[in-house]
Amino acid sequence: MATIKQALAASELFKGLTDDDLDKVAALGRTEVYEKGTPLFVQGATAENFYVVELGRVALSSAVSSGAGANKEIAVETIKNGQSCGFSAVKGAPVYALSAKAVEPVRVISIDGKRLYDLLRENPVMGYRVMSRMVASLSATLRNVRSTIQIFRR
Amino acid sequence: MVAVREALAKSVLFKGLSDAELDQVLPLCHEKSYAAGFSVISEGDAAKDLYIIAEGKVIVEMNLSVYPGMVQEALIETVPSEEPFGWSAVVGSRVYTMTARCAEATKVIAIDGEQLLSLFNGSPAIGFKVMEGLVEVVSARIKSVVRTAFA
Repeated sequence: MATIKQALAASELFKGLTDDDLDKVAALGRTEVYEKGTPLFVQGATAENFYVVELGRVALSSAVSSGAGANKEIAVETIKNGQSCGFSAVKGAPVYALSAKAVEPVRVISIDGKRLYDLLRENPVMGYRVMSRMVASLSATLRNVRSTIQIFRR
Repeated sequence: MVAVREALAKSVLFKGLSDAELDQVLPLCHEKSYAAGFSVISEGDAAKDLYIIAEGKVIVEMNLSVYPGMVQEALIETVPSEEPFGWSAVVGSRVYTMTARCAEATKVIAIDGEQLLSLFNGSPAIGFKVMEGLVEVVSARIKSVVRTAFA
């Protein structure tokens, strides 16, 4: 099994950081395992943790009203090894915009969002680099959400 | 340039910058005016500038894949004054992923993306603040799209 630092070094968000910076981020992380079908977080819940997928696939989805008070989940994106979710915990909003669920057994690095934000703010070289990558990742999610809506409306 | 400075200072992306930091961004900016209906940027074009709306509003349109091999143009949302668009100039592929058309007479501030990235690399504290603002903007748009479409 890779160490937390190795998993972070292989991730989209943290690859290319210096050894020292990776150590600082790794110190905030812990490994968590989710069985198939288990939620990592739920849309609307308080956003506390940010996740880097080390192994497996995670589905991001949104609750959709399907009439008569019933809701169903619409998948908007599936992320896998090296990708991240739960950005709301780092910056942006107090609650998660989407839900995340393991679609197979998943191993993730869970990081306290507030502590990661403070670390990035105190280290602007790393902070700028990581925030820039977060924008790219969120932009891809935004585009996927928009596409999903178009299909849903048809 | 006073009007440009005021518009930048009020904008979501740059409002967190100090006066000295704003001074460094200002030389990279120029103001442009458009009549209603004109496109400021077009999807697929090389992303040269990042834009802030100083006055007016812009409609965002995108080509979306609704099925494999089937693409449909869709009106996505309206971007109000003080908000940014065209951030592909500083993040990702450097190709605009949407078309931005003026919903009414609109004044924008265009900021050269390459020069802005050079500034960020030389002054990462500025880069951090602006990217932090962009994270907020994109997160808010995801929430807004989800809320309005799936309500």
